[in-house]
Amino acid sequence: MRRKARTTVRKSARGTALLAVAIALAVSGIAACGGSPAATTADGKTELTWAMWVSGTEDTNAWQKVADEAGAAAGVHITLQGSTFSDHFTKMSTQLAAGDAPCLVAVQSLRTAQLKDGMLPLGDLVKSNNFDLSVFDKSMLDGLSADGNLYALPYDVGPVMMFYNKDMFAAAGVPEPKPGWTTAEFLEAAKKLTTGGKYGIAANPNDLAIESQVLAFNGGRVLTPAGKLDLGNADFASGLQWVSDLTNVQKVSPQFPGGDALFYAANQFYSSAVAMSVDGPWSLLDAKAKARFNVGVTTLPAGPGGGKTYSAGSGWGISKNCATPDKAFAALKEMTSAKILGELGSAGRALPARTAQQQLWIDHANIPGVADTLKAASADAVPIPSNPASEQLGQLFNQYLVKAINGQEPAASVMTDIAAQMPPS
Amino acid sequence: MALMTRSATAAKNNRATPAGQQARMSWWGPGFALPHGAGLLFFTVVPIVATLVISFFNWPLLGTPSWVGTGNFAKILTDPIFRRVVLNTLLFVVLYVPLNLVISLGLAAWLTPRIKGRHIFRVIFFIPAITPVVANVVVWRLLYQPNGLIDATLQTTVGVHAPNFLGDEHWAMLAIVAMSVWQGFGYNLLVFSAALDAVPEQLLDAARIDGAGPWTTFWRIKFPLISPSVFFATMLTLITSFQVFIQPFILTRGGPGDATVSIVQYIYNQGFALHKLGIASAGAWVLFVIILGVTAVQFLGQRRWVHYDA
Amino acid sequence: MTLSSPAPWAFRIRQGIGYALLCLVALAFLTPLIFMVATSLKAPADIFTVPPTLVGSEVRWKNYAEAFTFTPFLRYLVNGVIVATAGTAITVAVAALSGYAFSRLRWRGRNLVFAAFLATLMIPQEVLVVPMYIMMQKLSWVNTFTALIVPWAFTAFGAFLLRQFFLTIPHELDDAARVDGAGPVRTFLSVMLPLARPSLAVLAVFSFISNWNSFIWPLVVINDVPKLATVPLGLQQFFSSQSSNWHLVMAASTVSMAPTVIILILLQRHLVRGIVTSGFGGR
Repeated sequence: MRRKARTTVRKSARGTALLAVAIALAVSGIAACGGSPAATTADGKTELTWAMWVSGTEDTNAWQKVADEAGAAAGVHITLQGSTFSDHFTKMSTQLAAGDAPCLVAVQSLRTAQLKDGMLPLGDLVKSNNFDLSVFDKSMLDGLSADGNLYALPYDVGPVMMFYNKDMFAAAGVPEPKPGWTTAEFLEAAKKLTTGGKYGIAANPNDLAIESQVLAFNGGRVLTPAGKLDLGNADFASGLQWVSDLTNVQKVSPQFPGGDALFYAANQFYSSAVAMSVDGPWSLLDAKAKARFNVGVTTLPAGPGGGKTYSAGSGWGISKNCATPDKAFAALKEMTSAKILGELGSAGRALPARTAQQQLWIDHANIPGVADTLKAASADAVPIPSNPASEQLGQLFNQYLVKAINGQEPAASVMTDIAAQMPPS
Repeated sequence: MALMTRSATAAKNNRATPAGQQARMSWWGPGFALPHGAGLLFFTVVPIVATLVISFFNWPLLGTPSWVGTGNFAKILTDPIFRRVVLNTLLFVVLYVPLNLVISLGLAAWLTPRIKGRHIFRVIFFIPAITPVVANVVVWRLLYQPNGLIDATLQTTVGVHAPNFLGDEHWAMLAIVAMSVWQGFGYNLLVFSAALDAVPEQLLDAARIDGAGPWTTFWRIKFPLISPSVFFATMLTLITSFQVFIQPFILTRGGPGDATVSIVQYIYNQGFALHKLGIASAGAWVLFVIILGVTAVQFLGQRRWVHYDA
Repeated sequence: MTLSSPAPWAFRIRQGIGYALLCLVALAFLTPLIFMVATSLKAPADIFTVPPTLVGSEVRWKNYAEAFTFTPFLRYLVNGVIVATAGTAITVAVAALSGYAFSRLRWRGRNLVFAAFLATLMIPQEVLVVPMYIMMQKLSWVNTFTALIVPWAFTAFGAFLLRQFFLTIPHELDDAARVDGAGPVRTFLSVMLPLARPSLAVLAVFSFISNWNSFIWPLVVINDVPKLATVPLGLQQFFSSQSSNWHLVMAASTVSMAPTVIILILLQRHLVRGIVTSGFGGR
């Protein structure tokens, strides 16, 4: 027993040492990576933190460059706090709830109404700075507004369009679609393209995609331009039925496998399983890089009474708990300046929300037909409104639309189910 | 026989412990439990109490809270959607827990020390438990989707189409359970394997000499001796399966319809999508009561089948 | 006493078949993993082909190199190891102490406190995230390693696991130790801990994995992603607002499994049989 005790004491001494190391690491964790940044830097400049979604080192560096340039021009120091795009909303919600959000916050036009309670309306700052808003795309200014107040300055914009596989079109002998084509032409093309295990288009229950398709078909909307919910809209239900019929009646789209809609249609498109995909300019360069075929773009097919499309984009605003809103707005002015947005456009990182700089993006994209499509789509684009329950709506679309698409339930009945779980207005 | 002698001796020893010694020991217990208890109290109990407080308020994520008393609880308990998600979760639990336990216990019993390379097999069977969630989404959707691996295999071998597992409300939960069992059984496998290894060799030798086959040996000797671990595994698997969230969320987002929405997804939606922290917290406490009830039943029932004190 | 032993060759065949069956089952369970690795070697356009294939048009080993340059993934692996190791150390240490307290020591209110410990497991983490975040704010721990390591390290799970294992240890060993003059501390260090090696190893593995795969909490509490993120948060970095880089995600995921597999292999040595028998002598 005693001999055993000696060895076990030695072993437990090792265990204690390990614990001590762990505690030391924990303590050094406090010391090494400190808590909140100082309000001013050493040279007296105001310190601003900027919450933005980034993906990877290259992306981070590019946005850091924006932060440095804008900061230098505005006389402040901007620190980039990058999070992932898909989780940005969750993170922002938590930080705003705790009153801990950074001064500069990135926000998507679709989610403006949800975060607006934590953000500063920019109307007064725009006026006091004599800031000219007319250089920005009007649909984005509307998109980033809620209750009549502008909450963010836009940096990118994009109308929802249709991507198509030029090679598959050529192989099936289908003429390439021109901007402004009709749903009848679309259906004919899709039928010809559905052959040999491939399909014409992939279903996309993502809220932006489905709402745009229905809007283009017959003008049906679930959100009024003022941002109120209209889930019982009969036009939307019949438009949704038309889109769903593509899968289970017309059979030009494969059965939807359920789950997260984001990137599903795009991935089907890149692997040439389908010939068309509803998407926006933000994905165009990724499509060009990943697809092994020639990518073409055109407008969404216009149905009777439809013909419009939604434009969506993102911008940057100021959180309510920011101690220095004036400095923050000065930074925003620089971040959305013609110079910086122009740089972003030429690098293909964003289609600038400043109309004058958009050509730079088009030149960089170098895809035939993109200029005409953008022009046509933007002419018919309306801003997608946001509602405080937009996230819940998107979530419910993900859950329920699969039933309509796969033909298990009529679209009107699916919309009733969704409406039952949404707040009244 | 040896077993009976040992428990008799043990019982005698316990009776021999004088009550005085109990009194002498009574401060060591709290002392040993203090580091854990203090940490738990500060870091877990405080937020838990905070959620209890929040559940009595209408607490929008961004905005000012207002008192509603039991209003949130009433809203939840009368919400047909909540009733649906409770049923969904119950279905998951009823399917998942037995399947998980049977597979992990079965494999642990199979991987006796006599099997060569059992260490490797244990690692192999444990690997699903450590695959990152985000990787699992893609792989399992590739398996389940129409014209995916399962569908394609069925078509080439039997000539039948597989159902659209994740897109069909009759199959979605089953598909999710299958993936969850695949991912989760490794933990219990490890627990049972460690427990089975601790069964004294003498007992197994004695049983073999007495002519007991592997089945008898397992149920008469091994199982009673590892029953504390089985109890632990059952309890914990029950508790965590009631809290299932990630697997249905990533595979089907809770669809089709609300066929696979779990209680925690309901809570998550209320809190992070609808920004209603009050209702989310109330939902968490309703779930707590459910789990507490199930756990209490388990604890009361353990006297009948769990053998402590070898 | 009759021993019905079959002929040696029949026994061998049965053993062989059993072994082959085991290998088949193992292969079946590994199929998703095989697909994961296969996807990690594909070009993006080959991943979602219908029907899915094992090999794409090319075998892209460079996905692995690219995964490490696209994001600072090595940093995330290191962060993950630091956070998981430290968290596991704390969990195992406090749980060993409390597991012993709940099983071998008698004290007033023991069962009540244990019930309270268990009760803390019944609240899902998702709903605790916001109050916990506010607490981290008050402590100025937001965006630090401490916030990743400490808050969840005191989970009652460890106490429960170790309590169950301690309860299987025969009371004679306590009595023998007491007869030898050992108090609770000596008994704990010299007798209980060594015997509990298998369960400590199991707890260590579970804690490590739980820390390693934790996602929502690091998401909420880490602001400086390139410096402090752990692996699940890092994996999300491959998705942007514009694209999903599944080929890189799979490559990074495959690599990220290595540390946990290593921990498992290392700790398997402690899952040894027959430890309890060593206290019996020739009874």
